[in-house]
Amino acid sequence: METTIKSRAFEELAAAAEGIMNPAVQEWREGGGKVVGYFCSHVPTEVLMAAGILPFRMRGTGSTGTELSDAFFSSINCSFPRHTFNQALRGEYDFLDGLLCVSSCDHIRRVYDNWKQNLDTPFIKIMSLPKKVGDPQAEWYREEITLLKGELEKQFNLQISDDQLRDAIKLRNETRRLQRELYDLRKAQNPAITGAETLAVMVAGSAMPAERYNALLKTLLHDLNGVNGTRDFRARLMIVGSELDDPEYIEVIEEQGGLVVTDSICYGTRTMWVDVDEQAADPVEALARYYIQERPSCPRMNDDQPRRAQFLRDLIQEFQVDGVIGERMLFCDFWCAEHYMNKMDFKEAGVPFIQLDREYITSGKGQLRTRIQAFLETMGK
Amino acid sequence: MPTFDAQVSSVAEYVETLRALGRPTREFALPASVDGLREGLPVRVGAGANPKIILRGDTFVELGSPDAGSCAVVLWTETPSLIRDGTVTLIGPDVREAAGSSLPFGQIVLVGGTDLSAEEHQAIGQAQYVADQIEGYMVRSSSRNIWSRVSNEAATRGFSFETLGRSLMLIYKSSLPKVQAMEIVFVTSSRDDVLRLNDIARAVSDISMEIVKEHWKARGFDLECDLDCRSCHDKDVCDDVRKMIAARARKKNKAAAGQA
Amino acid sequence: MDRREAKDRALARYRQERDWFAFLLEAAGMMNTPEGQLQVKLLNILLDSKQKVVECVENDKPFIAAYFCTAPELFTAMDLPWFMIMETPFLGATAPYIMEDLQGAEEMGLGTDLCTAIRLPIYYIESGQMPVPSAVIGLLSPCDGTTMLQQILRHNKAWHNVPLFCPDPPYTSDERAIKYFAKELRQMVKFIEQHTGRKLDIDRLREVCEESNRSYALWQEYNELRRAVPCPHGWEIGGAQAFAVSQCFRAGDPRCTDWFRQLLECGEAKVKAGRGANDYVPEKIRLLWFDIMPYGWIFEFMPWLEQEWGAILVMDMFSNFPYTLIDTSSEETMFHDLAKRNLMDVPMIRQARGTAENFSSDIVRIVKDYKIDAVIWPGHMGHKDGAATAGIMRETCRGIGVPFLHIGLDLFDKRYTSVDEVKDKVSQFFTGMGLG
Repeated sequence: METTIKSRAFEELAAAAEGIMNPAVQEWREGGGKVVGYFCSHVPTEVLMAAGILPFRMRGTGSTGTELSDAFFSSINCSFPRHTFNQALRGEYDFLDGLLCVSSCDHIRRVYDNWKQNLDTPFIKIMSLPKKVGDPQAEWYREEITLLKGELEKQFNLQISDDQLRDAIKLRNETRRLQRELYDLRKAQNPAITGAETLAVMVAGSAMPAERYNALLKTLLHDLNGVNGTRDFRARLMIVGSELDDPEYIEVIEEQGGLVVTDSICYGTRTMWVDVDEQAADPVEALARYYIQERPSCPRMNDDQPRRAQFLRDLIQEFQVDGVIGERMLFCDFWCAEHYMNKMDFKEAGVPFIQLDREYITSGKGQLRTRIQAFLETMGK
Repeated sequence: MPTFDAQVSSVAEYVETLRALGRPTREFALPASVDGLREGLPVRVGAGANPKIILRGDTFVELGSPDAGSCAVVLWTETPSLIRDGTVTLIGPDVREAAGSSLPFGQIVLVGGTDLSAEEHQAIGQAQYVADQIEGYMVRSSSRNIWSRVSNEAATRGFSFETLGRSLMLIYKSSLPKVQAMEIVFVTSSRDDVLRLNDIARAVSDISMEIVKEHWKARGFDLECDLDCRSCHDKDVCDDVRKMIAARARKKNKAAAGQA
Repeated sequence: MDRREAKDRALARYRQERDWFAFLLEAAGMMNTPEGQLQVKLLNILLDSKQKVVECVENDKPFIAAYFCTAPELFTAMDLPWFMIMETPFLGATAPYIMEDLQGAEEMGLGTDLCTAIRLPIYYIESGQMPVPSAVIGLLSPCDGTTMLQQILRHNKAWHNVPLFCPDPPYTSDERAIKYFAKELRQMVKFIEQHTGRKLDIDRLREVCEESNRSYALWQEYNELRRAVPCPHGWEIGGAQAFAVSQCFRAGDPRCTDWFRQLLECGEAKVKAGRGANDYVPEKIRLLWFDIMPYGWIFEFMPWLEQEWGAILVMDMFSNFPYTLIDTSSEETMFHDLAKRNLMDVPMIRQARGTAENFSSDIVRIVKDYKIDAVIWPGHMGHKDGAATAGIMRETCRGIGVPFLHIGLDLFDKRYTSVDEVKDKVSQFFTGMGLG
């Protein structure tokens, strides 16, 4: 990607977001480390980390088609699992020692079923993710995490102690804190980092060992310190949606003058805006509460739309957002309905909003440019 | 791969427990061969042997209704010697002793063969749902248990649990040639006795899931479909996929050979 | 709009639907067959339910909006009138005003790839054309769309303060999941008691569950009849109605049991006489239609299937369920078994809620037991998880040697894939497979 950031750390992070395999994962494997792929930010990656396993968030990056996965999915399925599964069928995920899913959405949960039948991954599991955010649901997820712990111990012949869990939580929280620091830079009048660059950094965070990532991110923050940011933009935008892991998509938006200063997406604020409680007596319970109740939710969680709406309002204020882009992948029911509600809310609040439907692989750039230009015009920017 | 050998022992213990509790227990020694099993059957056995369904009014005895209690278990082992081939054990009343009744019904099918593997697992489990293969006997289409009926006519002809056991053995041995030994236990003594089997059933179910998981992993992926390849415009894709699968399988085999 | 006007508007479509069914009742009354009489009985039960809701709205009496698979026996036990939020697409999709409503749903700005059965009720809610209940029991399975329907409902200003409770369905199907869901059902009861003033009497629940057991036992017996060759009934009578009677209206009501008794007698008579579903067309193809029927264009397609191809719908998704008795010996066993039934047995929830094994194991068993010649997965545009299971279903069918067709259509809106296109695909499939 094109960038004005002068930072070796950024180069390494951006490179990790550009493909599936990267040198950090390579090194990890060569050192005998295990890697478990996962879908969805509700997966308690801390448990994998505590087991000494590298959690790797699944992407379809680099996919050029779905001709293999089309035998299993259909044209009314989301292109994200289709491309990702296609990459897996091509062997791009042969490096995985396991796959961990949650029952997140209708499309992704079937990745589990199809993967189980067709790919030879040693460990494969789907966790039952509740659909509400109440105390009984947190308790259910606490049990699910306990079961996961047990299965990992059995599969990989190891023990996961509470202390190891606490250490993993601390490490992951450090990542979250550093990422929030990065986002703080974007609150400035002239942010030192663009939205596309930020997304690259966030995606990299799910694709390498946390220690390495944290070190790189610290270096990047140091490199960005005092940098005069871009002035060449017309409006400050927030992007809201789901599985967006392609910085190029945001680049196209930003090329038109809409600087993406914040977000609520699966690789963005929702993964790091709050920390897991490190003081809790029971780390498993702390994780359950975090993933079900405490972190900003997505529309998958039924009884939490008002809190999500408030989260967006807070972000708009904190980041001085001029307009909101709601992106969703075609055939995603969750975000179809969520943006339907967002549109009404933003209209009432006088916040310009545009919904953009897309496919997983960034395409139709011309059309995207036109729509963004039109959006900025209507905003008077 | 997980096995059911421990559960085979559990079945023997279960039978002994009921025997010790004074339940009326009968054992029948049946022939091992398919031809031997077929001889002397009072009803036909085979595909389409029971073409008609058995209506309520034509029912001599109902077995394993949800009210009465039901539990069906199928286990297999690669060690046929663990199984008493040809033995049918009945604990509780026989068919002729239960006219008009709705009996609780436990059915335990034990299958042994040195060449049995995960490949046969699902077929072994499915074969207990005999559909229309036993004249005068109908297993109802209720997926989680064996809920069945014996018709008046079949009962008149002497249909008994020995007949049922013989029929099941015939079906299994003729449709699954790798089956070398079979033993069956029927329990009709009481609902509690039948439901006692649930512990074994649960353990079997857990192991079954493991076997199914491993079996699917081993199968690879198969794009065969019902269309004629000569006219299918996706043929190239199928061919590419098959080549890819073959290449990956060769790569894996090489790696495995290298490690060995 | 004042309160009276708002009430009238909210009831307008509902009354219209009631009147549509009254019209169908008249037409069914002219059918001088046992099956015709069954339709009459069903429509009377349906109309009675609808009229009760209308009266509750008009007289400000408590009633709720709920769904199948939220243990409707509990509503009967509490003597609480209720209607199903998705009633129109499931029951009224042939009504003459539906096209207008579908158009309205599209113009609302929701994506056209959201299931029509979800969009239509959202349209009614958003346009003020659905009766506002005292409380809502929401559905969170089997699909993503249902989860969002509840959220939009809560977001709507007119419904925002209507109390809403959604029992949370776990993804697994073991004892732990059943116990969890049973707790959710108990919470649901507390919620209903709090917001409607009705109380659950356990003895009354026992009566209702025992009646429900009787209904289900008769339904299961009836399902056995459909294994007969020829099948005594086709698409016109069977699963869809049985489902409506047992789940959507007054579950555990003696009238429902009576309906099933009559259905069974009707079926038995035909089996004894060796009569098939259609007296004029011999049965040539025994079909498993592995979804709900195309309610939006059923009259244009299903009769054609029988008449053109002798293809009898022997079994469909809504007809198939594993019969689980509710153990009424204690409060605990009743809640446990209601949880089990509503989590794991109820059609469509059964297959689509959990992992894909539920699809494949049902196909294998049904094909074997019902002597199925062909399996059709309609591929409804709203069934995204099913769409991603098509490969597994295809492979399952290949494994058991039965032809499989995946179409791609909208069960409620024939504009998505025209009826002619569907007929064409089905015809090519039958021809290609040498069927009929």
